[in-house]
Amino acid sequence: MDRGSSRRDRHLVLRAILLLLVCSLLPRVLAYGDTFRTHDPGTGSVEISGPWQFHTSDDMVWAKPSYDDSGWEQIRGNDTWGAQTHPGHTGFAWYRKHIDITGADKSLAVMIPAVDDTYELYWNGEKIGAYGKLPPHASWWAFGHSAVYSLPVDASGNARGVLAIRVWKAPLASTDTAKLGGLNAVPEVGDKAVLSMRAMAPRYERERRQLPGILMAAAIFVAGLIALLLYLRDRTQRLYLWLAIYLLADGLTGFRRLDAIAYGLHFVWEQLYIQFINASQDISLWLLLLTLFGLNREARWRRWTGILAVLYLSSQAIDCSTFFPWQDAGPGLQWIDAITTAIYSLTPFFIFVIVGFGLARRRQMTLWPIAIAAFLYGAYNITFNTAGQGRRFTGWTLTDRMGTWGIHVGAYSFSAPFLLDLLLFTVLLFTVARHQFLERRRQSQIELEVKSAREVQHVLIPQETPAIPGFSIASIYRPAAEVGGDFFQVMPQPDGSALIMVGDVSGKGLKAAMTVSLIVGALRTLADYTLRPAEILQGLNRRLIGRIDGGFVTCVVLHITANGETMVANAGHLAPFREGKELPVMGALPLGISVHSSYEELTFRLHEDETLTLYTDGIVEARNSRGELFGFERLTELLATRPDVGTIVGAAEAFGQQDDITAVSVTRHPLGERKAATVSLTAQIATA
Amino acid sequence: MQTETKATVDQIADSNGGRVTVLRFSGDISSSSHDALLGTYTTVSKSQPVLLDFSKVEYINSSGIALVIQMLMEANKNGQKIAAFGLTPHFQKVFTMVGITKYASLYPDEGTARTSI
Repeated sequence: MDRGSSRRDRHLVLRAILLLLVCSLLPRVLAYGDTFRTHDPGTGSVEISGPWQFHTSDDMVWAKPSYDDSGWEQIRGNDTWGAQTHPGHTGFAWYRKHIDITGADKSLAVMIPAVDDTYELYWNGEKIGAYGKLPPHASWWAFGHSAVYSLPVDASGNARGVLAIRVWKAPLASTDTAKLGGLNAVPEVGDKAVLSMRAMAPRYERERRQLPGILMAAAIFVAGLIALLLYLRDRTQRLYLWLAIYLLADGLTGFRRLDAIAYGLHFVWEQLYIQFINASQDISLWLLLLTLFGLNREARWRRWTGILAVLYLSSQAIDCSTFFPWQDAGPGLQWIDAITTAIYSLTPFFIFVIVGFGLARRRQMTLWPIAIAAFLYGAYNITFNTAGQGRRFTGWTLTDRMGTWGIHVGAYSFSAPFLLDLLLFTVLLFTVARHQFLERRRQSQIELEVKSAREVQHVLIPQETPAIPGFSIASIYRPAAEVGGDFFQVMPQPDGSALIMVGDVSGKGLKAAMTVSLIVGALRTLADYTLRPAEILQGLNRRLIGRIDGGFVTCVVLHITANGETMVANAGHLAPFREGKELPVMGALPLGISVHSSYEELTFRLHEDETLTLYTDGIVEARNSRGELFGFERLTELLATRPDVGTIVGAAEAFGQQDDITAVSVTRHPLGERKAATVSLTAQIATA
Repeated sequence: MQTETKATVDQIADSNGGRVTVLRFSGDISSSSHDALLGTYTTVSKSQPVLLDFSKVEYINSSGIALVIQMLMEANKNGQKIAAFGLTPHFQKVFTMVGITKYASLYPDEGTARTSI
């Protein structure tokens, strides 16, 4: 050996020592052919690089290490089989990898990243882990995530053998692409504690990025609880109920950002959760918008909202029923899924209809913010949902791009849905608060008006009248819930006669009460000039023309003298009864309609002990729960028994009072009993 | 609870082959029926007789009667022949008392109304 060759030999030895030193300091990652080889990964982790043997279908023999898989195709582990050689494949498939790890200890583990959809993991034919459940009772996670399993090491610290993954992919849903199935990223080996941290790190990072959204969801949820409490305090305020449902559902939607919910729910439960909160949110938003735009007062809008809500919920219910047998879904179930999903993805289009019509009807600047916010929110969601339908056939990628829209500030991300949700939440609270403020003010005005109308009624409905010799007069006035337009007057005259008037103003409230005040004032003036009922009606008619805004006043006036001579004239009112028989008074137009109206008088003599009964339509138009009217027949039968006014009014009330009820009876006493004359006026006017 | 007033317009032939417009109402007639009654009336031809079909009307309150009277007076002003049918005996009586019969004849059914108008 010459000196030159001995120097070369020394160099070679030094190089070899250096190489060994470098290799001993770094984890060795060397894959020879189909076998992945590495030395102890220590406190790090190493990707199981190189291609994986892959085969669709299912056979438990493929778990065994002795099985010859050299004829299998090879695919990469860093992407799904759908993105490589088997687009759209669902069902079973196997991955196999020959592994040779030396110098390891018992902490050796393997981390399998997210897999579509569920799998069992085998090491040298022994099952060492499972993710979800395989058919026949398949159950898979809604969102795939990494899982870590211990990898057995022999006494020499080696892990040599075959890692086999038996994967099952659920049938594709209508929004799935064909690029799904199997491994989403390369599995790793390493220390179990390190791998467990690595598995959780992206989830913690994701949750941190989503923190603004989670906090916002909490705020929305609390606002929803407050709205619910406001509704429970006053159940007439449906707007609070719709707001509560919307906000609570919106809050629950936001809570999906929480790691425990995002990665803690299996597919079926996550789908039910989404369907429930989406339906609650969409339908309550319709009802909110309908109320804010005042369309809820129209039966047509209520009917269409009901129809669409039923359509929405029915399609969702059918869709939900497909979740449970989904593992065996064939084309039939997939078509049902596609159709029902399309229906409830498109029904939220109703938001645009409400906003469009609402703005056209109520041209209020203050409604523009809610209109714009609702439009943007609806537009994003509908576009996102519809663009995703059937995308494995259309190839559309809009949904994927929309998922990336948003703003990133530091470590936090503010996605487009988050920003639109925030906008709608803010504008909704403002609009509802304003609406409730205006509603409260309007209610106060109504209450004030009702109070004023009752005060007017107190003055106009006679509480007491001097006795008229020879006559007993009894009356009962029962107002309905609202202040109505019934009125009556009993005016004793100096000659011993009496002028009696009973009538009804169409409409209710202060307006009706003020019309009554006009009539009573006019009657008292007219009575100074004439006691002829027809002339009084003509005088009243002239004064009411053009003053009752499309309404009218029915009225019957009678003048009765001490010896029973009676004149009656009628302006569209129900004919009085004499001794249980209807008087044959002529019909005529009510007051306030035509200046040319004329009224005929009926003259007769009311004999001693005879009774005249006057009443308003509140008696014959009392309605029971079946919608039947009390009617003229029942009244005629009742009056044939000569009841007092209390019995008449009581019968109508018991039947089902709908409107003001007034009954007045006038009984003429025999000459010898003139002192028995009485006047009994009962007017029940609520004071509150 | 009140039900919404619905109105439809039909064209039929009278006993002489002339055209007659029929306004068919259903539901309750009240103050909220303005569009269904007067609004529908404005759309019909004023040159041919009109029949008002109340056979599917369940209830008419005083404000509803006011609207019917307004429609009849409008027809009267236009010189248009108008009649009603299908009213229950209760509302026939009410219509008679409010003087509607001075402006429109009341018939028990469509057949009688068609041959009589």
